[in-house]
Amino acid sequence: MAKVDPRDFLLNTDYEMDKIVYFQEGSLNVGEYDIDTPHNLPFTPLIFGVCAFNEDFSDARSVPYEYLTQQTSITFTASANDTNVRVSYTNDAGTPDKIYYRIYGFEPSDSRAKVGATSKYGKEFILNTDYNYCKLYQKGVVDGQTATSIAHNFGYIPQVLVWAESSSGWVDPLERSDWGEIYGDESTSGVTVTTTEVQFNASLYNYDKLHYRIYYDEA
Amino acid sequence: MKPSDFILNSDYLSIAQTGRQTITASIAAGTLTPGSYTEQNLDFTVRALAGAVDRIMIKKDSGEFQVGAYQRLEIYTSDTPYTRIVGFVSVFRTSATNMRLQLVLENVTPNTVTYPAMTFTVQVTSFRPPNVF
Repeated sequence: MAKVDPRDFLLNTDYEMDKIVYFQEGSLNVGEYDIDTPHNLPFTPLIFGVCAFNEDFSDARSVPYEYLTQQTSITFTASANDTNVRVSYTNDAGTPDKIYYRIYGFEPSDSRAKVGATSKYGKEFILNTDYNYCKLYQKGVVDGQTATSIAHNFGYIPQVLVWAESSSGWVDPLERSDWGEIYGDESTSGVTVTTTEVQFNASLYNYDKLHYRIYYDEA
Repeated sequence: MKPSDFILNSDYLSIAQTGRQTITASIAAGTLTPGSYTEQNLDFTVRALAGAVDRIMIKKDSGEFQVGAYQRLEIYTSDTPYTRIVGFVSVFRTSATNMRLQLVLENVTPNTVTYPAMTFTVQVTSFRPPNVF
């Protein structure tokens, strides 16, 4: 059989595609902190999502969201552990006084659990060939304390998602990297994606584990 | 049922990619007096999609792409006199059709600091959330 390029297909059953096993939406007022909602799943979901100050989500931003300066601190965070999804909104400027959020979750790579259907949350099509559906190349877990890399050798920058798990069992979507130049020497911590590999430089974050998903689809 | 038993399964919501885009933003060099900060917002037109879930990667200058919509920046410009700039670059939507690259830099030392010109390249892949079809 001829070898195919997964990018040529909107969906391709030769490759696993993302299935959303958890969904939650809501809003928080300023100062609502560590608000827990049981997710009722037999595993810790890999959550991701958006938050927005407009109720129609027109100003959607990735979760977690941070605006941190000496003068102002605005944060929206979301985490999951084996029982709850936790959200928090802090804003020392006071306004906007409300933030809206939508949280989605994938099953972790080491789980083969039974999970109830989520299609009831959809308003129209579950699959729609007007759009592309990402084809999974590899998913897994790496040690968060040790720098490591995973080769893909695609020759292009693929889409990559990463979640950080702390020793307490809370798992956060990793949306942050650090870039520094100290006396002319540059350094980076976070997850770096090149045309040949994904580099987990995350030892500075002091996380126990990093969960990842690498797709054939281009970033 | 087990989601892991299926390559695709219409019992579970999927997430549809509607587009991908590269954004390049250049920031000119500047000066910060002691304790001052600068916030620069560069806006770009993107395909209309209210409530989009965007996957962001950011590359600074000739570096490599980093996963995430937020990159913290820290620059020690010299050791005599001691100068240090901290800040971040963040990418998010301001409306259904606009995306903003926001750069914030602060001089946290008692000396005037010059920060260098910077170029950021942002890869944006946008997804249509399953509950807002």
